[in-house]
Amino acid sequence: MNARILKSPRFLVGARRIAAALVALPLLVGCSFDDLLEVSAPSNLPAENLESPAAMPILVNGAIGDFECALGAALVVTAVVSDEFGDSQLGAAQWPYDRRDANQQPYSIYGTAGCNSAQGPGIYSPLSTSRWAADNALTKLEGYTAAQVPKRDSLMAAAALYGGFSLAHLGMAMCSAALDLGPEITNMQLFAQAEDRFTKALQFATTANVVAYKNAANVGLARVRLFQGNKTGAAQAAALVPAGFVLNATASDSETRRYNRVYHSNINTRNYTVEEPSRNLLTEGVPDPRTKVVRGQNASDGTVAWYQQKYTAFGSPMPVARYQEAQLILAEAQGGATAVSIVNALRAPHGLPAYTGPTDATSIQNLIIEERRRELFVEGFRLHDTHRFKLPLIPAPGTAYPIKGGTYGNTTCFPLPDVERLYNPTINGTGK
Amino acid sequence: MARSVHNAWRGPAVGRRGLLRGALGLTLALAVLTLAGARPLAAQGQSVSGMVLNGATLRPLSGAQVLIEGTQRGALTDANGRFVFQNVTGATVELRVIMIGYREARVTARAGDTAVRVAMTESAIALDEIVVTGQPGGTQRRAIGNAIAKVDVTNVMANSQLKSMQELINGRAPGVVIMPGTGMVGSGSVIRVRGNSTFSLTGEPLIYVDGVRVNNEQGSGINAQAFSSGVISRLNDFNPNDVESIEILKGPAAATLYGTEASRGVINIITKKGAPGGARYSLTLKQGSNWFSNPEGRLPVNYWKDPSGKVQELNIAQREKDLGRPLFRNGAQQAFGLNVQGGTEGLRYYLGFDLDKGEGAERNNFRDQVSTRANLQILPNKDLDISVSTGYVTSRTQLSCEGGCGGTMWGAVFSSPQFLGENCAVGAAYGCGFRRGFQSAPPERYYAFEMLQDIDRFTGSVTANWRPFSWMTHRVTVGTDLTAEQNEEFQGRVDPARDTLAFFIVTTALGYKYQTRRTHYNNTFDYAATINRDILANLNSATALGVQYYQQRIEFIGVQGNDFAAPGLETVGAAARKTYTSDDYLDNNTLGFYAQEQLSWNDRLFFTAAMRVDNNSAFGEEIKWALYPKASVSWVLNEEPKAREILPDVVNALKLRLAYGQSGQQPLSFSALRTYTAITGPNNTPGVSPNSVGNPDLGPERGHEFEAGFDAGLMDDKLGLEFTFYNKKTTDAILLKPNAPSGGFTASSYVNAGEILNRGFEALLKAQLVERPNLSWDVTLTGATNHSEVLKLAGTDTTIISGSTQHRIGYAPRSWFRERVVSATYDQATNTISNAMCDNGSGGTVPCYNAAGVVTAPRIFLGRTTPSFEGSISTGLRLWSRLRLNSMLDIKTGYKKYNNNLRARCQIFATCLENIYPERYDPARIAEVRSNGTLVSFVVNDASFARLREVSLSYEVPDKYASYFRAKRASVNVAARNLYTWTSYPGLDPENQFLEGGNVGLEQSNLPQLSSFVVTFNVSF
Repeated sequence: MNARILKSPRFLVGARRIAAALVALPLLVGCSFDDLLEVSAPSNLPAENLESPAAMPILVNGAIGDFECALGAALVVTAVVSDEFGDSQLGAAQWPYDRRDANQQPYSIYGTAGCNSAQGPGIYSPLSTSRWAADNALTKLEGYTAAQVPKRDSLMAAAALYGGFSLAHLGMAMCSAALDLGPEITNMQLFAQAEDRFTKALQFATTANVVAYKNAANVGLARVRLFQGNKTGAAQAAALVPAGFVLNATASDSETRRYNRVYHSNINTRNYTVEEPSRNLLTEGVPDPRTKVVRGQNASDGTVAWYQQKYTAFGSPMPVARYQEAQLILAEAQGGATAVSIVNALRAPHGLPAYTGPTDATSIQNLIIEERRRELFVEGFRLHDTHRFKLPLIPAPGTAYPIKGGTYGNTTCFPLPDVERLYNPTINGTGK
Repeated sequence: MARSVHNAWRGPAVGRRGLLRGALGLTLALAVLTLAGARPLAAQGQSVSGMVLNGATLRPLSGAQVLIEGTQRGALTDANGRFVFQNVTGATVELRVIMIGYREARVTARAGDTAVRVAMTESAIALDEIVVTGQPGGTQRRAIGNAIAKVDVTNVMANSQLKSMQELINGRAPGVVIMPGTGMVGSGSVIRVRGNSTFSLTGEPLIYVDGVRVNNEQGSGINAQAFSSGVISRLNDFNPNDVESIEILKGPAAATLYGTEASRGVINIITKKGAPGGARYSLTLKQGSNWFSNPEGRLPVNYWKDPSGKVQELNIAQREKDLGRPLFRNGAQQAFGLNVQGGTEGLRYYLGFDLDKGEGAERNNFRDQVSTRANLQILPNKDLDISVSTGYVTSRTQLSCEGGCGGTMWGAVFSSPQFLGENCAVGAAYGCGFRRGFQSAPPERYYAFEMLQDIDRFTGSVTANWRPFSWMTHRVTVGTDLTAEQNEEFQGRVDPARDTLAFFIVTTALGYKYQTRRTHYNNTFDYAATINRDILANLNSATALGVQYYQQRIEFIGVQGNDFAAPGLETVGAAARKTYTSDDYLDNNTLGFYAQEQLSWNDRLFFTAAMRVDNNSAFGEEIKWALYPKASVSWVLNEEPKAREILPDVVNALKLRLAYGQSGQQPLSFSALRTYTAITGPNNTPGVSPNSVGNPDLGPERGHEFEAGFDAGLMDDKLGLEFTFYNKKTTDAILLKPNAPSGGFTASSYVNAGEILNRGFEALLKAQLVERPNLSWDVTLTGATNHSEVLKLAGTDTTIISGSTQHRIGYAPRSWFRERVVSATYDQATNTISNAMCDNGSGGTVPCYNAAGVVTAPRIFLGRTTPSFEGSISTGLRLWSRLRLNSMLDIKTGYKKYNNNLRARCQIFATCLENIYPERYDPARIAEVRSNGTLVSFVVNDASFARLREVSLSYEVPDKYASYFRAKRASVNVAARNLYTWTSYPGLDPENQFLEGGNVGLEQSNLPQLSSFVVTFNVSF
């Protein structure tokens, strides 16, 4: 480049232009890269934002919310697999429930679907989430003092309680499961874990003097002790539950996740119908109002759904624990005349006749089974009762599954689903 | 050094031969002007005038040089392709016509002939063609070391009158696979470039319009197929009539300068620009129809054994037709278009307006779209040019239910004699009196249901090229793409007492409305500076530095209301229950810098090296910046003197190319973070629930691609061949991996899971088989192979399962893997199946079930989900210079579809013949049919096909008739699509599938690709 060019006006103009361009680039670059790349997630909360005492109430609330949604799904799924409900729609993903062959299809939706999945409700994932959320809240609460977290004991009681019920329902539905990416454990081990949570819940509820949680913890203890074969312990806990007690899971028509899932799937969408063996059961020859059903709207066309009458609105609450269950546990644990007395007492409010049958052990057990079937209708117990009492499956396994093909299977509990078996590092052996 | 096109004042860049031709042309043009001014000196004679046109499209060519042989006279054709010579002496003259990109043409014209028509043939290979995509500035193709597919849209549209951008690309860009899923009007396609190179992220290529990154979503809108599968593609918002060309970069080797997000390839749409000259108007009118070809012969016949044991059959399409209620209609296609272009040397413009109305074969399916475009080029001085590109589209699309959503297709495919009214008495079928044989409900139930998408979309950009010195160019592009999308599902209240539809509608008989509004912003800032230097006399350098910043934001608001108090109430606010509200937005920003150096030796050997560095807001905390290198070599061998001596004469052009490059694909925003989501707790109190487990180590996928190939012109450019071998390896391929529920976070999370190889060949052959003044015949063949293989999966995983597909080492990602029964025993007396034996995957067999009845046989490879070969055969026949016949055969092979129509009929509804007459079939097939849906290999079927995709006939109306309308030219085009398909696929259509969600590759009651017939009139003023 020679001197003449350097002094030319054209060069000077050009040089200014270059300088402007060269300045512009660093200016762009100079504003922090982080600023240019920073984005926000307005509907998601980073986990680190929940690492404070102030976050504890919403963690516990979340765990309860997760449980309430999971419970609704569990009531539906266990009802469909058992003889409470039958499928009446075309969502093929849900047929393994009704056909009772989900135990042959460990990849099906029972393991993967959420509590309000469009495919149909799942059971393992929602209960695992609510269990984890409750345990996570409990662990975090244990790291803070009462001074840091107002109503800490009450929150800890709630976390332990709902963790316990999550474990109890997992144990009632699953043949086996895993916790915290750990090894595969049996449903009895799940019940043992649940007992641990209920014990803690009882301690914290007592300290915090939250009566409802104390009673619910006793129902939970009675339930899982009974399932583990500890009838004495079950009876002790059940006896502490006062008459009239009930702890409900709340529901609402305001959003689909909060729907009463039984009402939604049975009456609203008519996806499931009350199956024939559970419709309008008789008790001592008298129609039992506890299993009353109403025929669906299109009865004139020969179809349809039969509607249960326990949950008749999106907002109908679902029992988590109640006096009647505690009494039936007590009856089962003590048997004999006590059992008959309890059953009769439970029937009385419904205007049902007292029991008049034999009182040998087998008859009493059958009485308990049938009474549980009626009193706890669509409350999540029938499938596990079928499993633990080895009740005959109706229709029998191998019977043709009408309209949709295949034959009935023999599911009474769900095996560990593929989603856990394949992606749990402890179980799949990868360590990651 | 490749020349830049930035300086519009300098005219289009040309190559060595082009320069000579350009100089000659300029000389001749000056000569024409001189001669025109010296008319009195010329001998008195007659005139010769006419038009030069592109023989492939019959469209006029402006700027062609027309010479009278044996004289010094010449002329340039005007914007309408016209030329005129006054005072021609002699009885005849020999005209020679030359133009860059075309082969020389010669005709003999009579003196006094004012309607001479000269059809020119495009050169089979165009090394001097300018490519703008993937380069800091426009660059001649000769300098580029990687393959770039270019679709000359103006030419294609002249012949084929296509409706969508995806139809334009299909079969015209080897290696680019367009896979539609449904024949619904307004639906789009999945696009895969050089195979599937991810486990779980989007496989869609980036899309740019005039240098601005735009919304490239496909599968948008209401999930008309259900199961999370929408069908509308945003690419098809753009109006093909406004597009000049499409350039496609096929992978990392070419797309490095686009950085993170570009490893799936880049589609750059270049819209039309104005040209100097008076205003030229073009008016287009279209009328046509589309239809579902032969539903009576293609929809399955379904069977039912009634309680008396009599086997009944139902061909519901035939039955409804015979009853005067054909299931499908002939959908009207109408379009009106008007554009004008022109300008001066300092200001050029293109204005376009199009109105398209299309009806589908389903009675409620339609799409109405209005497109407008205004493009300006401002050239205030020789150092600066500014291009302004703006487009606005507004459309309404009404979709029909199909797939898992229900609809006419669902009702028909899964129909059954059991549901006929006459069978009500013998079979207690649910609602059979109303169903008329349809599964679930008759079509009118679904026509009472709206699924709408309204779109308002603006895409605009400003690009300034500033050349402060002859050796320096600055280019800045700033632009935005804004898509306002409103989706709506609506079911009005149906009176249960009076309307039988209420019987079928059940849940929503009281009505509901679901409405979402999504606003999708894409902002682009792109700056590049290029410095050209002559290092030596024969060695030139082009150094480019650039920075790009992309912002993307998606805003979402959704509401739903259920239960209207009375018919006529139609708003969410009027609903008794408000059942859904959502309000969210998602951001993603990318910042990248690059530097590129290109050296050219004698304008025939080019070496390019570049490096790009990127950061993205979705990278994990442990990932800071991603580096993407690139290098390429291009060698125009036929211009190498020594090589020229060796090359046979038949080779007139030969370019060798070699390229290596990397680019990436970032994960979704916030996928690296562990997050909770807000939920409602007990008694409607606030709470949080575990959402994403997060992955702080999450980084971008990285595509590493090597490609080599050549472009050859043979036999004086009568034959052109482009051939490319590519080898693309994606490392850190991202997988949406399920999480074990026991960990609390049940949502699947993104992990860098493995490596995927895609390798193949691509070829494009253009041949001018016959070339005479009154007859020409050209053939274009394209073909691309794809070998795809998972090389590595994370940790010790060898298999990731997703439904019936798996990612498995040694096989193409997401291939079909299922257990396959190879033998079984059927006992006709007891009608039972036993001894089912399955393929053990290594040549032997194994029992399919264990003692507990659980399927324990291994899943074996059944086939790919995407084609391993795609190609096309296109041919054009020109008769005289006014009539042209074109056709295209589209071929895709080497993949399988999951025929869920067959599965559901056989395994769910029991309406296939296998259910009725099992003894007629292989027991192995019956064992699968009767497996409670656990054995399904019999429905994974080869979907290879060849489809007569396009046939068209174009006719240029003689000028004397065109002049009746005061038009400069007029043409008529008759085009048909999808007239015939050759396939052994037993399902409804080998192109049917779910477009999104977990069922891609699965056919289930989808509407087949429609046949169509459209007549187009085009008049230019």
